[in-house]
Amino acid sequence: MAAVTDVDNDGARKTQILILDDEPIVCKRLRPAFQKAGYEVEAFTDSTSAMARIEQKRFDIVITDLKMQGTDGMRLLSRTKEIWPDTNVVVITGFATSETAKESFRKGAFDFIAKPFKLSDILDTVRRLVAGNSKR
Amino acid sequence: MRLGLLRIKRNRSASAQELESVHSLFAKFRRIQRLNTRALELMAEMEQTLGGEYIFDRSFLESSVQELSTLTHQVVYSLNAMSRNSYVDLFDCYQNIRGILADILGGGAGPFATHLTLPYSILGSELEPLVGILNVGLAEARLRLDLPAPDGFAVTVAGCRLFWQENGLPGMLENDVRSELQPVDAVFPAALESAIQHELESLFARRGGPTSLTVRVCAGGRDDDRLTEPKGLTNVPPHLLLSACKQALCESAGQLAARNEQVDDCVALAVHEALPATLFGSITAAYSAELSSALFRVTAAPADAPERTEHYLIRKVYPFDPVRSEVLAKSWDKSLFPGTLPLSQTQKGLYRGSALLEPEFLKTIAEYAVTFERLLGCMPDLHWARIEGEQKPVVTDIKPATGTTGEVAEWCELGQVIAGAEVLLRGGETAQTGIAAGRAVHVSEDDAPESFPYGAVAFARAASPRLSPILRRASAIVTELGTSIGHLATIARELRIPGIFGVAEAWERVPAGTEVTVDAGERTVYRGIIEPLLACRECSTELYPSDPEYATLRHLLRWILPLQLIDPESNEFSAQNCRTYHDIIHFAHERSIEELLHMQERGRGLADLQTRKIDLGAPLDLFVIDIGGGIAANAGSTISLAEVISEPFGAFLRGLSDDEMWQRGPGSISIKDIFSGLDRTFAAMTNTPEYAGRNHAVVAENYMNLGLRLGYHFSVVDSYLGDSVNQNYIYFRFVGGFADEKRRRRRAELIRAILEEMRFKVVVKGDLVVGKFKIAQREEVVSALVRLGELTGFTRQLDISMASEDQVEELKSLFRHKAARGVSSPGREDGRDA
Repeated sequence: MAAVTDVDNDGARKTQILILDDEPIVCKRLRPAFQKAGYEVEAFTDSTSAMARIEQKRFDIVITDLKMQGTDGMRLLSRTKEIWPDTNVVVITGFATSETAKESFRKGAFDFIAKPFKLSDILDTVRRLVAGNSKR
Repeated sequence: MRLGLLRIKRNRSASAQELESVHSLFAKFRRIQRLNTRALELMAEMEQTLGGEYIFDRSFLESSVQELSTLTHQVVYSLNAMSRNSYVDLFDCYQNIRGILADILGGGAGPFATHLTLPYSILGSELEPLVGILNVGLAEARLRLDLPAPDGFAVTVAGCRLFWQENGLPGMLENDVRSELQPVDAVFPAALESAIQHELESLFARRGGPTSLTVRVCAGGRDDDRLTEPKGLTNVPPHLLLSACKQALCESAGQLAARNEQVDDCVALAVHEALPATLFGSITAAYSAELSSALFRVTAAPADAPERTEHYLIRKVYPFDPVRSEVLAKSWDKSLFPGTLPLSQTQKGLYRGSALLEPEFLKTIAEYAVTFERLLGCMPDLHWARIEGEQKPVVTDIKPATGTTGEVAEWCELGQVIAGAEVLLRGGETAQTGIAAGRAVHVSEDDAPESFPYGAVAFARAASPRLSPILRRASAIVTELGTSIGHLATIARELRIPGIFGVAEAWERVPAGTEVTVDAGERTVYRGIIEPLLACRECSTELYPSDPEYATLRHLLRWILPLQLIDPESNEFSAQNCRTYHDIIHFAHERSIEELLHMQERGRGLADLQTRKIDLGAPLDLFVIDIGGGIAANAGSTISLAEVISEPFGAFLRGLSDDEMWQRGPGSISIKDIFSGLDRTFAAMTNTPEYAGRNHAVVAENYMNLGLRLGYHFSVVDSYLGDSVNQNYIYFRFVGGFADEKRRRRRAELIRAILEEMRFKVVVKGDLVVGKFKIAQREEVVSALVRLGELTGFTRQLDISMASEDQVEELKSLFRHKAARGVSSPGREDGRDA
């Protein structure tokens, strides 16, 4: 598997992020934040399309909501880790409970963030991920 | 014997019940405090979310409203439980607000949806779907931004819909697309006529008399391109207003018919005072590729010659320097507008010139545009007018501009620009997201707002609320101290001014005069004006007023957050007048304290409770009821001051037991003074005084409620002292006296004067004195309670000796002197006993 790399001004591969949340406002605000930080971003509000995309392409980081119509976030998390074990998944949810948090980590999530969350916090999480992976 | 035993057993049972009743009362009071604290935290969280720092979705709004509703309901329930259901009306208020919030969350338009007209005084951006952006823009200019704009009211989409229905639309258009409803044939619904008449009368009352009017059509929601204004609907005399409204609505129906479009729910009317404009114009965004700079394009034309339009290009950043103008030639002896010729002299003694707009006027128009850009979250298309005799432009129309404001850099380019920019500050908390640039100006509370250059970036030491007037002129604000939940942060969010609070050494690291760009979302201040960063404002991560979640949150907060019931002494302070959840919990808080205060006056069987006497060393008997942690566990039936654990009670007793305060001097009171000062007959004096009875204190670790019945006067001290500043209070009530009315009044005035020096809020009615001390730090409350104890000792029987008005001031000085002496005594302020 290709190692995760950070942003490179010389045109090297940028970190690829997929965002999935059925609330358009979340994608609308997260996408430019990650683009501004120098990452390549694809955003989806429908889990079926997102799942299809993940089947096609490996992303370095997947950020997903949990409760959605169609494929829910937990299933997407499991399937992503099945296909791409090195892909890091961050779960974001407005229905955070200790049970869902534990289950997410059991299924391989890197982090579990309850909504509402600060934009700066999720950016820090992604930066940590990228920095950690680039040291491998 | 047997009967005696039964009586003892019954008394003990009654005593236990009464103690339980006192416990229960206090427990409910504490419950209301806890619920209120959580409710206020939740309200603050919701309000803070408007600033854009947090990513949230609908589920956050739903769960927050759900939790707030539950808390508020429990507060109402607990208050009624405390007061034997004295506030049942509060349940109705709660249900009403809960229904409104559910409607808004469900996509409804709230309680104003069925109103046929709405005055500008209540409009906000959240009501745009009901009244259109024109009405909202004029209202926001007047109310939120304090800019000159005409006063008026909106005929809502509901009002216009009623008109269509009354006249058979849209059915008429379905049958004959080309047919037009003629004003002469149109019927004006009675309910709409009545609503318009009511608003008109209110408008004239505000203006001090009738005025001619302007009627304009506007589209509800943001789709504003559908309709053009009908002509000739300005300077409408009041008696022709209904005809003008008919004409406007019929013409708009005709326009829609001509485009084969349905008449629907997207039409409203703006009715406002007509403005005698001498000039009118607009300001929109422009971009200069040559200068790589965002600009404003300003147009201006005389009201009587609209074809003679002039154009001005100015920079978009303060001080809005002119770039280029297209000024039409004019005759030197012809007025540009009334009172102004090209050869009129300016204050500097220069000839004015033939441009329609002078630099100061141009700058003011630009300031308006920048202000609206912040508020709308996008560049506005703003129209203005110059009114004869007015120095400043008046806003006449506002809507979001279409098109771009300039080239937006590619993200990778922006990344490079940011990477190359010098970071002057990083950190703190985001009060309001956004990107702005300008010159750094160091500000303090005492600076005159007018001296602050418009559009500069304010740097302050502390986030003081007194900086609010300066904030209105700033493009961004950075403070060294302060948090994102303080009052100034709330103002920054209200005005959508980017703000970073709590950045250490901001003044030292950004000298005044430095040009900076502030990215509040990233909590970063860069050196210089970074145009690519400014250009990406409209496609950035902010939460914009156009986002449905922002609009929903603002709409919800309208019924949650504003505190309208402020003064508990006012006649308006009632359950029926609670309009928001904040009103309800504030009302409940004040009334719950009243219930505790009245515990003494209503008796509640306190005399039957098992009590312990306290050994004060002062000339009064005082009995204590401990309802939890107020007295040392091993204390006997007589307790010493050292065994008092209740912090507020301990502080009060320290003052009360001060021997010096019980001995007043100077001089002595003669028998003649006593008898001449009495207001009571001999018979009255021999009867039991109305406030006779034992002195009881109900105490807990953080609470005291003391009733002092000293024969002919009665005072109550109720205090809670905890870790939360917002929950700390002292309530003091004093009434009665032995002397005549004048002397009792003088004593009341003395008590008032002393309490006001102690920062109590005091109300005096005759000989009744009510003082309140709220929202204070622990140490301040302790200090105030000590003083109050001293005052209680000092003013005992004082009314008898207050033979003249001069004594009020003399005794005030004497008390101050004695109290000051007390401060210098070691251990008085910190420890329990000296």
